[in-house]
Amino acid sequence: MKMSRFLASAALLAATHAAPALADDKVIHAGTLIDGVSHQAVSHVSILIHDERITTIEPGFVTPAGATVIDLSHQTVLPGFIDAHDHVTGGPARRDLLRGTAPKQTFETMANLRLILRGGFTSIRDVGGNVDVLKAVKQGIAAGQVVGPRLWMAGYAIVPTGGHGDIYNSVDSQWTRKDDMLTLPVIDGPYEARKAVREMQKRGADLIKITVTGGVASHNTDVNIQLMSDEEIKSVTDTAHMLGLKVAAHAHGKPGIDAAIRDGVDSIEHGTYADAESYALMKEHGTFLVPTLFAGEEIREETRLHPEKFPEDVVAKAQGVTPTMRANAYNAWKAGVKIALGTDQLAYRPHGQNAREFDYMVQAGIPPMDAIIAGTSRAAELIGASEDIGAIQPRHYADIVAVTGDPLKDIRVLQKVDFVMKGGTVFKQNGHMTVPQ
Amino acid sequence: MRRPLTRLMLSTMALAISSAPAFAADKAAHKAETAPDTVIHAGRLIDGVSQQPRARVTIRIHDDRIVAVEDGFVTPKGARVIDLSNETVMPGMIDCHVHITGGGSRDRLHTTPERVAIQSSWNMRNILMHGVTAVRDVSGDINVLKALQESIEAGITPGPHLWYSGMSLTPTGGPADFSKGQDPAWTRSDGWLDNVIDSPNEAVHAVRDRKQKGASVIKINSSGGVASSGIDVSKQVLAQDELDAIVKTAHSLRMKVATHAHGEPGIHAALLAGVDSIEHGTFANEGDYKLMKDRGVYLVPTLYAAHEIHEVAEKNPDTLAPDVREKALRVTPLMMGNLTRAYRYGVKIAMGTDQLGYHPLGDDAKEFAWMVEAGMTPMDAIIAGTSHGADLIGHPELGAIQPDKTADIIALPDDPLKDITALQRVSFVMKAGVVVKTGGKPVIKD
Repeated sequence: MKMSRFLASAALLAATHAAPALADDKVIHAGTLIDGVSHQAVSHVSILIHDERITTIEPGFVTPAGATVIDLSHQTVLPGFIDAHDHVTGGPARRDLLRGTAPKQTFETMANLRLILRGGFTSIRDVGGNVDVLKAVKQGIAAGQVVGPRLWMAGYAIVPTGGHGDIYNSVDSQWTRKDDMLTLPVIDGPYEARKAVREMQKRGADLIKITVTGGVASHNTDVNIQLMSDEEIKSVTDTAHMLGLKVAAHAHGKPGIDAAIRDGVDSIEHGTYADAESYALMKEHGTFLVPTLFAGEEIREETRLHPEKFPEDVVAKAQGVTPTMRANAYNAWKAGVKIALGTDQLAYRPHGQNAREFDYMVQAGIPPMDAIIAGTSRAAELIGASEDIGAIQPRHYADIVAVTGDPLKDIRVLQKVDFVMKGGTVFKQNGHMTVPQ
Repeated sequence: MRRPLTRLMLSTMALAISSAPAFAADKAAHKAETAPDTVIHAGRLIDGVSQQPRARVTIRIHDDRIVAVEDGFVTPKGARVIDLSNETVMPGMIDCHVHITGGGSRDRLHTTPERVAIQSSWNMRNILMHGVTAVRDVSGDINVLKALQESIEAGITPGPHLWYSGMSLTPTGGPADFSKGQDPAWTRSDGWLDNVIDSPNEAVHAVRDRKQKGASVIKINSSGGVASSGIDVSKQVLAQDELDAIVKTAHSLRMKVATHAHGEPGIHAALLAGVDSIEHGTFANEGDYKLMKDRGVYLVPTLYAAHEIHEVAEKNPDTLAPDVREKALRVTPLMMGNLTRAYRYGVKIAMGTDQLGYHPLGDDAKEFAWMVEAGMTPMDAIIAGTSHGADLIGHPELGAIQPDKTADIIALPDDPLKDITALQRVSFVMKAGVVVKTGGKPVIKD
């Protein structure tokens, strides 16, 4: 970590001709602080930062000798936001299966990551994309060559034959590829599942994503049916947990949701048709729900405006399934299920609008502070990085954002971030990016 | 012609697959920004073509084009004024011999094309910020280069205009035969290694394949190389019939041919075949210079790479194969003398660095200092790095500050005619009418 920080700083130095000191102290004067953990906001505090981490939080505005003051005394200061369900490789190249080469996806991903960081999201859990592209951008971020958030990634989602994410659901079966994009993630039986988990870990995955039921955006898969068997799911969770990886399960229908929880997954993604029994199971197993309301809104709008671009069953699912997602998010919250923010942006809209998820959660009835906690410390907990991210507390990375106004009164102010710091380095100030593209 | 077409294609594509792609909006924003005319008040103008600089000149720009160059400082109504009245203004520099996929790890076995793509993007940004607004890449992963060119054109990746050849065509055992010295059991499925040709028929196919993948130039090896092991620079490696097939096919497809050549036989055979440029050209003789001058063939002297590999051979000899080390120490000191003689003879010179990536890419402008050291006048070196480069690349709309040229414009606080190293201190960069650096700092796009 020390080394990559050094590289990043050196690279930035070369890039900007500005001079962020290698060892430096900063102090943020925060008008209002929402720390990502407490339910109470506090006013007039100082956040002391040494290098890439927060050292202390002190009441009042203090200025230790030698520290650079960052004046956010008229702003609300929060931990950098965390999206636990994103697809950062999303965009025209990824959608264009036949022509969107991996290098093309890489360049688009670089642009996407900058937009995401600009929007105040300093950590992202990517739950499905080209594993080699994702690994390369992670290396690029560490080397200071890519401006973007911290990234945890699953690589390719592991899916059963005919499951959500099996590209041959719609692609002419005569097509084949020289790389393993189509074969690597598709499994049948527990041993292939085990092998796929190991393969993904080997290729750089930080977590495992599986698709247990059909999906809204995929042709000819039923959201209500469990498509991955219990023994396959169990094999994935056993192998992944042995390797220290979490498992995120895409599931809409109740049978798949309940099975995945019992088989030991760490989070249910979407979870549309969960019921009281499912919520009780989640609480019993400590399973998170990631409601992905953004994607629900996005696919519904996209299929309404451009139905001709989608198979009929996808249009029908998008119109029929997604309205249920808000109620599910609210009911799960009310039942006391742990909620982590996740957008599942499909990239029909430009990247960088992750913070709209906060608004959708509040519209669903979740209180603003709980939505904020879902997008900070709760998401950090799901990722398994609670010691490092998601809270403005001593020893955490100085991943800090600021907005004008009070998000507890109007959650939409989170969509206009004035200030972004990641690991003690300022990337956005006064509403403008401070590092070149 | 090229730009509107690209934009149109982009919009069509965007319509087909997405309602609002980020880069289509981006493009529109750029256009809006540059819609009113811009004028640059240039204290001193070097236009990239004329031998004489001009003082106090106004350059009028509309969109991505220069529309007029006028005496004195004029300010049309409503125009945005860029005050460079205390600077030397000239066309953006053009480097005709780069490998922009380099500069990262040299470990071919562990470096993915995706990682190379990110390194390339980083390189391109640095190169642009140093005032180089167009580059010709003459050997690299063609899939990465194609995607990079498309991303730059779409405005999602910053960088100079890019043209590329893909991996050099080379015979079995030639300098760019990457299987040499490797375990022969390794293979790849992405075509990366398909650059070895051993007959005129294979040569024809290889040229067509590169054309299909977006290449505008064919790069070949007609002699051994310095930085590659196993074949000496003095040897010709591609046969005459292969050279002939390559040049004939490439020219019929409106592509240029650049040959890597050090030894005289390789240079001579390539000239007989009709190549457009000799890259390096170390052991060229007077007969070769005559052919080059008569046929308008360019020499690209690549003094940067010569100094770079020489430095590595001296400072870190153990990192090079023994024969590479020996060649680096023996051959590269002769490259300056070749430029001296070629220039004196009247051969056309285009600037090209061939940076090998031991140093971070971007300081291309060092090449000019070595060109001047080899005997070129500063103005001729600048012309080699502007309008001559544009001519060699086949894009006459670049490389000059004249009406109807693309507005690729840079400025320097110091006078490069007095001190050629002034080109290494670029304070202002405009590419296709968009300011990307000003006051010595990159313009930061939100």
